[in-house]
Amino acid sequence: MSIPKPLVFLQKEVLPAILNSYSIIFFLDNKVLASTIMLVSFFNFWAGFSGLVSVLIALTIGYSMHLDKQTLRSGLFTFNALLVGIGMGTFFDPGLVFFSLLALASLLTILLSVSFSSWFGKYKLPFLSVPFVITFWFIVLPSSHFENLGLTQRSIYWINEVYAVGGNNLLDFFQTVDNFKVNSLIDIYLKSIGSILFQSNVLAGLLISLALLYSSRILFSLSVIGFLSAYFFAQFTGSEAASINYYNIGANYMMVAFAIGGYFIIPSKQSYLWTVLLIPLTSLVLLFFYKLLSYIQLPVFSLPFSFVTILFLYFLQMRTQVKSLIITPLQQNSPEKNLYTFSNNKDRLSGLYYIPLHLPLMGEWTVTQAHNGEITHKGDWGQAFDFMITDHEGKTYKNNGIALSDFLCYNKPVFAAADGYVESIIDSVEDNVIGKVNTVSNWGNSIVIRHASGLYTQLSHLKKGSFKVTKGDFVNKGDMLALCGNSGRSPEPHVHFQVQIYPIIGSRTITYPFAYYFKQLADDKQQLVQFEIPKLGDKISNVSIDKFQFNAFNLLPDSSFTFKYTLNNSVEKNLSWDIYTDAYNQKYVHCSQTNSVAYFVNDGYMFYFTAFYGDKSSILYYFFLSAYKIFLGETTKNRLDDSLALSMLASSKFYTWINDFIAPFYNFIRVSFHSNIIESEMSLNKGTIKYSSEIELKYLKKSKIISRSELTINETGITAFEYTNDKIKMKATCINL
Amino acid sequence: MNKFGSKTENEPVTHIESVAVKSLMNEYGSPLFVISEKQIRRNYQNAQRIFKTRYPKVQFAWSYKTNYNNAVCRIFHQEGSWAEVVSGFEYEKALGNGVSGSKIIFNGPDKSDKDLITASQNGSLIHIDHYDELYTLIRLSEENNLKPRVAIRVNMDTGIYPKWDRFGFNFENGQAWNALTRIINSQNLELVGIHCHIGTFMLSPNAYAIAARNLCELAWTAKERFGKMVQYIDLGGGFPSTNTLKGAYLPGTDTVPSIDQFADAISDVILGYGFKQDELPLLILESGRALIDDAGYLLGTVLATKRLSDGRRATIMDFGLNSLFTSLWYEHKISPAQKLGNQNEEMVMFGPLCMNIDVVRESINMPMLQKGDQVVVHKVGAYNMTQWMQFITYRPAIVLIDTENNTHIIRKGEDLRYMEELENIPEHLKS
Repeated sequence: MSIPKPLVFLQKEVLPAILNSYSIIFFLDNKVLASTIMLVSFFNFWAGFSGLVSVLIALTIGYSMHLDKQTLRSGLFTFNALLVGIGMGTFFDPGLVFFSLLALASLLTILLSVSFSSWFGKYKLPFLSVPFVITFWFIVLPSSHFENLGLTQRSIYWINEVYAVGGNNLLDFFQTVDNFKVNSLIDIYLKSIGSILFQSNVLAGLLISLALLYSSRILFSLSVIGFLSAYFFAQFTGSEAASINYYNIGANYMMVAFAIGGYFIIPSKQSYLWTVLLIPLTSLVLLFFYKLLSYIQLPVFSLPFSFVTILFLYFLQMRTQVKSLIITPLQQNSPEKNLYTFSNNKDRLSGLYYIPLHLPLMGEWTVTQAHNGEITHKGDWGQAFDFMITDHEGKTYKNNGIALSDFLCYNKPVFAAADGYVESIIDSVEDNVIGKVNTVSNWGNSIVIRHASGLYTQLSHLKKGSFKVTKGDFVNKGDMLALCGNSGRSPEPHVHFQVQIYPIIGSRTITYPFAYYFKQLADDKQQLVQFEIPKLGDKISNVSIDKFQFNAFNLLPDSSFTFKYTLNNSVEKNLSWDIYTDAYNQKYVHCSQTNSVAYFVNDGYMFYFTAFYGDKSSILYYFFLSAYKIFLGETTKNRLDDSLALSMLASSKFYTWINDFIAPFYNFIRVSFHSNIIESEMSLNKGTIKYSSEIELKYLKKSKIISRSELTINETGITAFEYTNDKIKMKATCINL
Repeated sequence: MNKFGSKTENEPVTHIESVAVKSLMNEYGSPLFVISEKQIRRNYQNAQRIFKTRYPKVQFAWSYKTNYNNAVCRIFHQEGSWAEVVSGFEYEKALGNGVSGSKIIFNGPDKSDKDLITASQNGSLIHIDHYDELYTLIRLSEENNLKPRVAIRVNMDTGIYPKWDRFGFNFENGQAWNALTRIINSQNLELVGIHCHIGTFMLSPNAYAIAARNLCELAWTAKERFGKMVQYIDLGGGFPSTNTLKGAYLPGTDTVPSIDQFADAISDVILGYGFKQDELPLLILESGRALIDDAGYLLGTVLATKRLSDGRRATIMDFGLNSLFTSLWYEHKISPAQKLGNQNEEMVMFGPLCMNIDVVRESINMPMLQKGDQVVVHKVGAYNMTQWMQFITYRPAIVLIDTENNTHIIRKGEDLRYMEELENIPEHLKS
């Protein structure tokens, strides 16, 4: 590792950290918003200046004391310092004493921020603007003793400031905007949003709200909801005078709306509803603190917001069942991204939560009794399956079905559904003749395998003497265990399979999906099913691993992936990516040139990306879209379908903005991904396979293909890929892997 | 069959896959081969299902010599079958049918240098038959810088008679292991599989179990000694159809083991041999006859009837040994194509050739066929359309009934122009 040069360090670390300190006030990491806030803060020059200085001091302390760089870059440790700086610049006169006090305040803020981040972090709670409030208390109470520090009236007479900066022209402009005849509600709204930065004027509010709209439609609509519910509640209770002022609306009610409605919780109609409910509560809390703290001459600032938000989040974490109000699992600093990726991943990545189980069978079998079946799968034993083999007419036997061997499934091998230890075996029950059942040894010959502590699978009605394993053996997924028989409560040969949490034969069953299997469709086609539970009558078969494809997509950590590419017929360039594993053992491709990462999974059956972060005009992004999900099982020409989060698309269009507004309630735009093999010239371990994939946008009843890709592999790995949309034509050929 | 013995079946067969036999012969002439695409696909899918319910990785390779009519081959390739060829001619045919070189298995003792080079360049699977071929291939690979993918054919005693020991390297005397070692130690040859083909029209599943066990043993030993696991085990073909062999006491439909029984025997051995799940070899099967025999029919017409000197009835058909080569081995089931009287008589069924050996059935119980009556010969899909003779007369046309019951001519009947196309008359014999 080479030490980053100072300039690179400034550009890659400090600058983002500064900008993020600004935008994170609004829970976002948007550069436009950050710049706007910075600009607005300088409307009150000294406030803006001391805010920036305060951030820089905090950052300097942070970097020199080797705080976590990632956190510093996110602005999380320093946005409180910014608030303190702007606040102090607003309320105190600049001067030497002021700045030395500012430095101390910055120090205190970052000390508090870091400590709170650790204390609160243990409980998975945010510390919000608590450090700012506390630091301010530390400044306000003793401030009367600093004789050389003057309390200013400037924020009230801000016009003087404007005049001092821009003369008459600027002043005229400001006043024109301020006197603009707008609805008084809008006027209050804009001033409130500006007062989050202690700037209750229309222009500041207008700029910030526009930047907010640009950065997040969800937060913008929440700001309106927060404002309206606070305003009307105050009118209703008559507490306007005490609880409603620009600052409180902005820094408390709107902030609660942001935090609860869209940031810490995945935006949904429930989160919006709770926003409306919590704002009156915030108002109560606010009045309480206002009364209480006024005795000791302390300002309340945004304490009510922090108090209510933290309290509610902690409360949410204590739920035993989560059906709505989902706490954002991975914070991406954008409610839109959080929402779209969450609702997309909820279905497509559900498999990651399971130890994959596979059908314990080979070839095509029919589910003759499914969960809660008519015959025996009842009550505690309801979550089980019976499997038999049927012929093309649906018959389970040949000849006249009198002999055991007439049954197509009789004597067929059964296999381990996953790796594990053989927990117990019964192998002493004779097969019944057809039509008779043995209710004494109900389960017949059975085997239980322990895949993990608390995850057992049981296979029953097997053939006596057919076991290939013994108790205590370790078996691999797909190892042959025994043969299908007709022992126990089984009038006809069949295989009984169940998943249970206890090792005892015949324990209570649990619902557990099979990872991947094919389902036969009526038209002779097969459908790939992922992490689902087969239904009665389904004709299903296992997916077998194709090592050829698996190897090609087996991107190993600490290897690199080098290729040459042309973009829109440009000159050929070389590019190299590295594959790494993070602390959670998740693999990702890293492009150091654009600092983009794409997380992927290859479970032997499927290669798929789980996330992409970084530059959406990078080649890695195009690769991510090209190989978003590729089926690695046996080479079928079946199409594989998947969905993509709307926020993963590179450009946002008008209709996506509209969608953002209503997305918490209904998503009318869907992005789907399809891939399939278009060419398979592969035999044994040699040859090539070519995949094509496309991304399709569906809205209302229209649909549109927005990009197409092709990807080729051979025995050495991925050899080429290309990506085309209406603006970009990218072709890459791999040099080595 | 019942306790009184097998019954005489003379139910008229008027339709094949709901196409009238009469109209087929009206349109395309007599005699006529008819192939049912539906039956081929049914057979293939059935065999595939049977093996796949027992073994995870199964690949069929269509045995070209069984029936290398392009349309027929393409049906199998559409179903996913690779190609198994035994000559340069068949090899080219397979390429022409769109099979990629790497999915062609090249068997047999007759491969020219040119064949070997082409096959190596195409990445085909070359199954080496004898030492001469092995040495030739090693030499060619060095001279031409080739990396051929090879397997050896192994012969062995599986307890059946006759013992097919003329092809491949013998298992029992160590030849096979010796050849394997030479391949593994050679610079250029890549050992990808082991092959055997223990015989044809095999009636004993146990023979396959023995063959599978021997091949597994070779694979296992190679893995243990050289750390190299072969990628496939090819058990060849040889599964019987339900035709009745000459001299068999009972009809084939009652005695021939089902494919299930062969599959059981084979998969039990390989799965139980001890290979790890992810190193289980691909199982290749080169079944021909069992997949196509019952999809083929031969339609023909009675030319004449007569009484022989001993009083037996004789029926002379317009097809004989020339088109129905398999009548040398099988007692083919023959049905009348129209309703005839209830009276049956034991008779000899002759072909049209002016040769004493041209007998279709030495003795068959049939209704009193008259001149112009039509018959359907069953289960003729295998070997007839490749081994048929152009002798005395032309070879008949082949018609395919597709899955929607449309008929297509897939090989025209021969004519004089076709027959004389390759002939050449020296100048002095002209005029």
